[in-house]
Amino acid sequence: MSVSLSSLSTWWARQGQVRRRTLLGYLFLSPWLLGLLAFTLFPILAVFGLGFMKYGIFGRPTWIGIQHYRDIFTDDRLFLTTLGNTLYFVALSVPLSTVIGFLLAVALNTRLIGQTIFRTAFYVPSIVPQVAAVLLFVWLFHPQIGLINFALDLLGLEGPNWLGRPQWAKPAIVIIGLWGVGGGMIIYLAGLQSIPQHLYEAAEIDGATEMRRFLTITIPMMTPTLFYNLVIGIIGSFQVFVTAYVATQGGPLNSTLFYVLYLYRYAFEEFRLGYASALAWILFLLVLALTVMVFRSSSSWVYYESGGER
Amino acid sequence: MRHTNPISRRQFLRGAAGGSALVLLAACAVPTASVPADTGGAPALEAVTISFWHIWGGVRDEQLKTVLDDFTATYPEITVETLLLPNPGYADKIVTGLAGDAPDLTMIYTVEFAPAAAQGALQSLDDRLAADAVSPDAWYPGIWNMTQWQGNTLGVPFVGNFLQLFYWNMDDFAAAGLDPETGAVDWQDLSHVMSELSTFDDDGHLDHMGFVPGGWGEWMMGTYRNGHDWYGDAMPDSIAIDHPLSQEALEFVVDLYARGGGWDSVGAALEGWGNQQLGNPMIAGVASSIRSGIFTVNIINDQKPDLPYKLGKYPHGPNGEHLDLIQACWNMVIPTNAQNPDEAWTLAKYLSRGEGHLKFMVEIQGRPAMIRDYNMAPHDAKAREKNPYWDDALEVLNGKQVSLPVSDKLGAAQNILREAFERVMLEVDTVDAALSWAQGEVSGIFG
Repeated sequence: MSVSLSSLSTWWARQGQVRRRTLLGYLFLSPWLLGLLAFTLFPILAVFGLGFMKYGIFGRPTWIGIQHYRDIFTDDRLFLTTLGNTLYFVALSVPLSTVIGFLLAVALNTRLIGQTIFRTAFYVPSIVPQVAAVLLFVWLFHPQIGLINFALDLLGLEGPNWLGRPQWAKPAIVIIGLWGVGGGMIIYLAGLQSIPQHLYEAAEIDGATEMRRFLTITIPMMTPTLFYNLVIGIIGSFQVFVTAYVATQGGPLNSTLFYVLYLYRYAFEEFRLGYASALAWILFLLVLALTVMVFRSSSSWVYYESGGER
Repeated sequence: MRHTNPISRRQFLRGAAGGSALVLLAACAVPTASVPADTGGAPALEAVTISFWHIWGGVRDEQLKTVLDDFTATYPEITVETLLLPNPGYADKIVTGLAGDAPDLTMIYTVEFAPAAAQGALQSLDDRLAADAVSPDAWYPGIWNMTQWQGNTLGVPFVGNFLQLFYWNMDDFAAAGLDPETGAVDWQDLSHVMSELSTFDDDGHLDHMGFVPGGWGEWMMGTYRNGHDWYGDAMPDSIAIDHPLSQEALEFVVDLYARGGGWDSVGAALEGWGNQQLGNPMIAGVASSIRSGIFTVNIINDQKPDLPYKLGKYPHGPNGEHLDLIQACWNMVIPTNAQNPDEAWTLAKYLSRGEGHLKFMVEIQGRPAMIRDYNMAPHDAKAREKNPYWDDALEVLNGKQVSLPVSDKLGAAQNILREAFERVMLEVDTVDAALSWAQGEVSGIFG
């Protein structure tokens, strides 16, 4: 034992300082890395493999090649519907939550009475359990006694049957999703507060108006944060599930049958884990492609202070 | 102190975005489950603890515990550990349980029973039935059908969703000019009830319903009560969704909704009452009649014993061959990877056809047993005390029973039918077009 300890000590002494620091770094990282390997990378690879197998949770998987993928693209009548529903949600939800979250953060970054209370009030909904929030919205959207249609009625507008009609159910789900906009707002707020004040002071001395300062300082300096929230928002929106699962179960007429809800049905209602795995990988690749595109585009619109270039 | 390789803000944000993206993307993955372990028989002589999963919450949990205490007294060598599953939402637990750490015995609904059977997750009980000389004839035939899978018996019935009864408020029916004793006998009566007893407030919103229609299930019930079976023997050639009797039923339901102000009107009223947690609308006094299971008798006894109600068969259509539909059943099953299948079988027998079944179903809950004899004298005395309409309820069981097919394809087929119904109600399709579409889709599923 003493020999091995001695050998280890000698070996350690031979290592350069940089290498030792690197090893120590990995050592401290190892719990997270092990978690990443076991609970993230392994499931991703396992699901990739299962996508080529007939697997129904109870028996042993059997290899069937690309049959699932062929069926999805040629024989699955709801695949394109669910994809369309999901893209609709992403296209509406991501810009809206980005703009609203950002504007809220800007508003709450100004000095006003009760600032802390407002910040808390806007943030708290994002940590309310999602199921509870959705159930609350089901009531709010009630066509006859819901507060939303009541408010519309005060404005002289006739409120629709939000969750009962295909043309209104998806927008309603988007609106419910905006309930959690406070989560993004907090990140924007942190970003706003890290913008150096001297930039604003210099601009003010140069006579820049408030709008000019917002457009030429705030927005460019916030682009890294906007970029971060955009990426997270796109990925999260593609995985919309709980809202539709609780509020509409995919209806009416499959108008809120989003991709992950559809995948869930195959996996846990029909027990077709192999097919669901293939669906999951298609979603994975789709989201990955979009994420890469956003990353690629970032060099043209994201400004990093440390880099000094656009 | 200055780091030799500081991380720039740009690198940090890129890294953070990339890392978060990877983790979130990973959520696209479908959870995996372990492969079932090999089955092993366990000796029955020594003391054994078995696990039993069920979905009876609330008052029924206590009732079941009483029965299980009796079981333990009868079989002291077997200790039963129960797990109350959440319902709704029990299916996820059952599915993962069957795949991995399975209980020794569990309740399972037909919807999950068929896929589980199709994938070999359940043990055959035929040898056990034969060894114990247990005859399937003891159970009602329609209920027994729900335990069969490709010629094998993979479960024994526990509770069947077989009594879809028609409940009505006798005072309201008398006010509508109908005989309060006979209620609504056919669709014409039901339409009359809907028109006469549905009332609207000043805004045109329903504030009282003559009858509470139950969505696409009303079409299904109507089709069978009009003498038609959608599925036949569940082969492509026998699928008949677009049959004239089915069409007649669908048109009847469309008309029923129209008398309540239409699809949106009825839906909004029911949703509003649901939000107000009114429970059963008829018991709450906002509806005059409803289709419901036999347990509703107990709820009325508990919540509103002075309600002037009666129950009977669901109104039938114009066709003379009315069928009594058995939609599903809660079976008791022994998973393939159960650790103590012998002791599980002892409990299954006790709860499905033994003293436990008689006590739990008939004596405690006052609802018909799965075993025909238990519903007769002298076993039925306590049930008759609780349920003044015992004989009316039994009429459904003694009628012409038809079961929905026990098939792992049934769920997909029912989804098509629900969609076809919605297409009609939302005026996306005509009745003809929706039926024609559903016929093609459902035939394809069973093809």
